[in-house]
Amino acid sequence: MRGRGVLALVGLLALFVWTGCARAPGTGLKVGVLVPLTGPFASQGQAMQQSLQLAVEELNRAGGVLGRPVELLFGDSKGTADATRSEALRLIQREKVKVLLGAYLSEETMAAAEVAAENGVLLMVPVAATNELNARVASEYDKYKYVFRTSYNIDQWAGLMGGFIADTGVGNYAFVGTNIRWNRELAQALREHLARSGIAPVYEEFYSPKEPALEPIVVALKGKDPGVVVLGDPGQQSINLVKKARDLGLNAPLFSVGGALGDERVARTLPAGGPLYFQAAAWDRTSEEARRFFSAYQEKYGYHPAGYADVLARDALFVLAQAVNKAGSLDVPRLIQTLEQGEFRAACGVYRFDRSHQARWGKGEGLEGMVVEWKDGRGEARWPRM
Amino acid sequence: MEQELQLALSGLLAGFTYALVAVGLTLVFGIMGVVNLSHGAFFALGAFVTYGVVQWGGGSFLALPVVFLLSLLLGMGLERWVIRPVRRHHAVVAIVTLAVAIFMEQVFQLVWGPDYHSIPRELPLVGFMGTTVDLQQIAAALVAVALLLVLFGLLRTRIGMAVRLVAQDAEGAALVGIDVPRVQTVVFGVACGLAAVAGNLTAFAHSIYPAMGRVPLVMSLAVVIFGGLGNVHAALVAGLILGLVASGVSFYVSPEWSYITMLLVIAVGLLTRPSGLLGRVGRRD
Repeated sequence: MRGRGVLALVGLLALFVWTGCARAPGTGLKVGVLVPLTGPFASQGQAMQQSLQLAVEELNRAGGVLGRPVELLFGDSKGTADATRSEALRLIQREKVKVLLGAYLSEETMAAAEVAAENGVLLMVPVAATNELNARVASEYDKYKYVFRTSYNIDQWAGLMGGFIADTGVGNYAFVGTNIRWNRELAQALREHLARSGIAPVYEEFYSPKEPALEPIVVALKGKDPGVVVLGDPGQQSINLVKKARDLGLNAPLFSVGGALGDERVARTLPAGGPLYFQAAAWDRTSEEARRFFSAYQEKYGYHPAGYADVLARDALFVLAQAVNKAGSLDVPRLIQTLEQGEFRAACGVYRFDRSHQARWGKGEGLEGMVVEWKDGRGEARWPRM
Repeated sequence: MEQELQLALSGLLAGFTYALVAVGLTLVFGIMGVVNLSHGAFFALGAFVTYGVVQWGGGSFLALPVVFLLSLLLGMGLERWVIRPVRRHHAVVAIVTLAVAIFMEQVFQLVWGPDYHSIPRELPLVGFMGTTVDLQQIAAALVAVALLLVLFGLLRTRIGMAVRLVAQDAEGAALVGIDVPRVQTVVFGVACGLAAVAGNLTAFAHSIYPAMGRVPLVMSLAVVIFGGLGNVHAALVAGLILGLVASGVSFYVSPEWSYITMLLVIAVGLLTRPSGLLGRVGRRD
């Protein structure tokens, strides 16, 4: 009787050991994701989260990374640097992640970069555009070598938008947007870029993101008669501005930086008028991989992604996964070396990083972005012409 | 000249609908002596319910009675079961109503998601003396003016007298047999209903998202303070003045100066007329 009891205990112990061993290989690449899930930027945070969930399903169906599944652990950055910092620390110290991905705003991302640098953790930046990030990597390489950006920075963004504006053949343009730091940087970079083509701004104004009086801006724009109006506002005021512009008879082409105006559900409700364009990192025809991603996103969530924060977050994860597979380990120094030297194909094109760990966006660089025009509530790729 | 006419027209039409939000806020302060920080969330509720009705195939004007009744009932319930138990402590009321606003924003996010939504206009635009006249904005302003006239008219009736008496002296009103708590509940509900109607009337012109009530709350608080706390007529006048100042500065100086100038006008107004634009509070004291 006693022998049977011992046997049962040994059997039970063996079962625990076996199930424990069976679960061990399940612990694969853990990625800490920082996105604003609440607060004023939750809309973009949700788009990033949905894309990443779709991406991780695709990666794990294909065998994961180094034969093990990829796991995403989300932290709510709330659109603030403080929340980003504390969530990044939680993910590193409590969840033991070796890689961070995020955030959305430049302010959040700079905070995440500090935490990543202090803790020797890799940070993939999928959206934030501030040039300061590249400057830090370039000037203090040993400290910030952990930071890689897959999205375009301000100068590249201005280059992509300026290329399209110059190709339309207009003689001048207007720039209106929210009075925030990156927007002023973008306006300046765009002015400098277009000056080379002899195109100058006839109107350049910034409004408070709180409660701007939009009618005076539209009335002033009508008086200036610009060839194209650049809308430097990815948020809700851009929707209000387009409505007001069309209502007051401003039919000049409107060219948005993307964001809220990249949403087809919003585009369907906007008044008719002149052309409405927006800058996207990718659209259906950018690549076969992009087409598959957009189609899968639409099928799962019921609407077409805007082609910016969503696809860029997805690409950042795919670039990381390829780098881990190429490096053959999760060792951070080896990963940094692989990312610095390698080429990585994803939905937006081919990613290569320069000395400041900035992905090379621009004509002939493998990543060119896309200008999309809304036509009857459907997005049609307009530039670059293929 | 056409530009100035266009600006004045747009500013005036928008001013009437925003006055609805401010009037509700000042009405609650006048009757109950409390500041309702969930007022902006009711503005957002009006816009979201309108969006829901439009998604179901209805029109935005069709949603108006639904919006008003729903907000009236919710507001009355909020006053009866959430605010009344803590009403004597003004700071607690402010915290409680702020918590309600945050709760409502979370509910909007759960139901409609964090995305920006938008609805199309239903009435056309017409040309008039070289300007573009927005018939939907005119209809919205007419509804707002009609509601304000009904409200001002009601304040002159027997029921309105009871409301005014409660505003002047709640204890005295109770002594002459007025059911003060009931008056306060109804007024709170009506104020919430007016904020929601403003959300409904302006929904076609704006993007709709969970936190959209914050700016109207801050703006109407500024209008109410500038006009004089508790003074319904002054809130209307102050709203129109501030709206025109914002438009003028934005057009003639720069859009980035309009917000700060508006705050400056409020500060100067309060320094020179501390009892408000029409001085109601001063007279009461």
